[in-house]
Amino acid sequence: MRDFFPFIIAGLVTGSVYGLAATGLVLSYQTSGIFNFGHGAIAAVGAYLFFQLRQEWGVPWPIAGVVVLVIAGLVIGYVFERLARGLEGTSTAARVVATVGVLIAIQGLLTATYGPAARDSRTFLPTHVFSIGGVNVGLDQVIVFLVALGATAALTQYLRLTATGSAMRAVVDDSQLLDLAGTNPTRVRRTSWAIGSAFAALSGVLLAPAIGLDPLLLTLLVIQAFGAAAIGRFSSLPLTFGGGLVVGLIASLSTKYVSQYQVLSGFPAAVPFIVLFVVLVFARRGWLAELGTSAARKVGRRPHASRRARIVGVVSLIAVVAAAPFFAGPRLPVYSTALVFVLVFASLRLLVVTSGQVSLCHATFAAVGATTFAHLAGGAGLPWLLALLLAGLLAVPVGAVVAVPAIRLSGLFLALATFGFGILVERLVFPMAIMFGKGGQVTAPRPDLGVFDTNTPKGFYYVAVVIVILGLAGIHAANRSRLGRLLRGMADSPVALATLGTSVNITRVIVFCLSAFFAAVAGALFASFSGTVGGVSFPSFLSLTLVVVLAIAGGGELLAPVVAAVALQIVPSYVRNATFNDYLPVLFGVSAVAVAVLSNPRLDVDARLRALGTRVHWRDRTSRIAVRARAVGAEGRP
Amino acid sequence: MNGLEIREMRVRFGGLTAVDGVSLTAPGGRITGLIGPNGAGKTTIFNACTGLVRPESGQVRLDGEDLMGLSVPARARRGVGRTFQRMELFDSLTVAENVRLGREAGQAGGNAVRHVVARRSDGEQVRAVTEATLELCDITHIADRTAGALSTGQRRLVELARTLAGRFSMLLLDEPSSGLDRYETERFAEILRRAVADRGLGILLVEHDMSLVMTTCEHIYVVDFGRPIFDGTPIQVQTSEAVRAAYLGSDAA
Repeated sequence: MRDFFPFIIAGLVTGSVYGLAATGLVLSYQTSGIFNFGHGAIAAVGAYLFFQLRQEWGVPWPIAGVVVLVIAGLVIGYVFERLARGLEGTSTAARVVATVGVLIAIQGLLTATYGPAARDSRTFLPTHVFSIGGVNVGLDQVIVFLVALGATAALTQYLRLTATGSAMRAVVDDSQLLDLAGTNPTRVRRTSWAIGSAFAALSGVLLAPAIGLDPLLLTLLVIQAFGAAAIGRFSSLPLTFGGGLVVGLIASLSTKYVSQYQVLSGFPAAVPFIVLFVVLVFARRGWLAELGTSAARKVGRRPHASRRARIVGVVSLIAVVAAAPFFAGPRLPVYSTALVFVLVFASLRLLVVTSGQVSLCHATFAAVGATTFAHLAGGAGLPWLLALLLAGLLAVPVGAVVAVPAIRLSGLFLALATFGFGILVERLVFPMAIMFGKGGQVTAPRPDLGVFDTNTPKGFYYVAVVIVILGLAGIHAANRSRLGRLLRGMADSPVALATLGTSVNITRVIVFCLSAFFAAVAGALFASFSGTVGGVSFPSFLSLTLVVVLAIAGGGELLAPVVAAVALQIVPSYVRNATFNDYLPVLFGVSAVAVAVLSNPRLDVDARLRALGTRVHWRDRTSRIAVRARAVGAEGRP
Repeated sequence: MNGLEIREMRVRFGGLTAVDGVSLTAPGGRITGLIGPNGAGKTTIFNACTGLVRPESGQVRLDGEDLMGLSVPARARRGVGRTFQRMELFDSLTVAENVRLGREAGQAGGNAVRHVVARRSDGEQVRAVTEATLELCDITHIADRTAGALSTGQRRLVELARTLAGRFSMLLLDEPSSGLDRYETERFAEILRRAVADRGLGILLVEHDMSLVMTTCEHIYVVDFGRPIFDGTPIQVQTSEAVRAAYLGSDAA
């Protein structure tokens, strides 16, 4: 039994920090209806700011700590409050895109400034070790735990004892009350964002010495917070803090067990996602009510190019693509990669734009395709084309698994579940032999086409052209068919589609399966092209980038995937300026925020932008699934 | 029993009883009215019939078959169609696509294969039904326009056309004339009468436009605060003291 104590203590300490972060997340979500995917990014900013002040500029740590909290609370909190107001009345997908955009922008900014490698964060708390009942406990551990617990307890007291606090509590209990509470709603929101951001920054500062200053790790702290928040049903603060402790404990205790099993080495790191996924999948219906979405929508005035203009566009695009080997020079492999991404984006568009489902695990589908292809074509020696097709088909059940939460959840919670699923697979399944294995990479062959040499960059490029065009044609056919109508109908009004007789649950599963198929084919193509491909090519973070870049690429069925792939792959290869490329994610993130805010139906930017000759295409319809169902239910209440 | 039958329906939201023991019968081949002041629970009755809301007790039958245990799409496939007070159109689709989906949604139903591949006979049927329904509702000239960009009157017609294209034997229409002008309302009533006469369709009509109700319905049920207060012919309803009392001071439209 004694063996467990160190793990329990370590689990409680990190768990308390997760709880602290999660409490801040839930507070700002409840008061504003904006679920902040960038919450962990605030933690990262806090940790780096603290590092900068203390270790680079030599500011004593107590002063540095206060400065960090004040900046996080006042400045970052203010910015988020404004952003939240700009997003009021937008769809769930626009909100998800906006805060994921913040995440990507901040992560990019920190990476560009401090480099991607982890920096050493010196502990600032006394590390004196003492013994409680024979178990060694660090003083710093005690302090971290007490600070996290104290901050959460102080917040609970604040909510109980002050006027603004009780207004906030009323809102946390029932978000509809905000406007009735008789307090200035802006002040309530600003205060809650300030506290939420300060909590995030504090958790970053407390966690950095333990996990190191790593922009990605800290940014993804948000997911530990997601797991904790899920246990607190995204509404109860004490339960959320308790959820943090649970997540921390399970993760810590599991390290003890899995050390015996190589296969499960990814388990401890995956605990928060498992918790998140399990809570979301098994939550009772109506347990998780999504906040702050409204039925407001932008009327679809899709600008239809004339048939002739479209044909001219497609033909000239094909001409450019076919001619690429003659002007790309040594960059041709970049063009091949871009082609793969066109297919990835097109399959993602089918899901996000056509059917209105938010998915944050698209890179996972591609990874499944890549590894399956490698095993079938490389290991089992199946013919190239057959292996490519089978790679796509075997991803279909994976799509179906992801669709399980989609059936019951919607909008925000679906986005969370897919995000959790992506990271779960990355940490747990990637290292298994069915995917990348212990070595972390697999090898895949190129097709053997006799006299046509596919081992040259040019040879493979044309193979990619053919496969990608076939894939796009398939997606286009799906779009034009009965299925496409059903999907677009579901995106516009799932309630209407259901009352016309379609079991929309089946429709949702189908679109996930179809999207997974094409993404997996793209992943397989990428594996074949790369020869050797590793899990690092399909990080779960890539899924976030994909959604954000697609959001800013516009709405065209063919144009959006092409623009997105060019922006993500080709532009960086032409810009020699390293600084620009470092800051490219920042540009993507900020643009995504702008696109999401501009999509707000309460803003009549459409007219203004049309006057400028631009159009906002980002229309998203996800929120309607749950919200409209509720609106329909509410309509009849006397 | 032919048509829709509601027995002792009771719906409660928390502590609030929205529908309190309503029974009514809407036979096929006729238009039946359901009226009452705002908040009387009319839309809730529709939601409970179509499965969007779960009633606490009561029965809903269509042509004698119990619908209570069925899901929303399953009830639709049994033959109950509806429109929405706030209109649930497929806004980014064209008018013709909206109407088509009225039929195709039921054909796809709960069958994954039918989502993707249409039966050979389906294609022809869908084309014919779409054309005929567009014609019936007199919206052929706007068939290629995007539904989201239309006027309210046109949108009401598109939503009606979409349900008329489906294989429904009973339609629940929720304030279909709100937002329509005099002329559009008359045209609307004409379409309803034709659909009923030609196809033996049953219609349960929730409506605030009293002249539409009085001229189209054969039998009218009146509810107030979720409770049935009267039912009878248009003449009887117009002369009823109870109905007048319920509407007095509220919106006697």
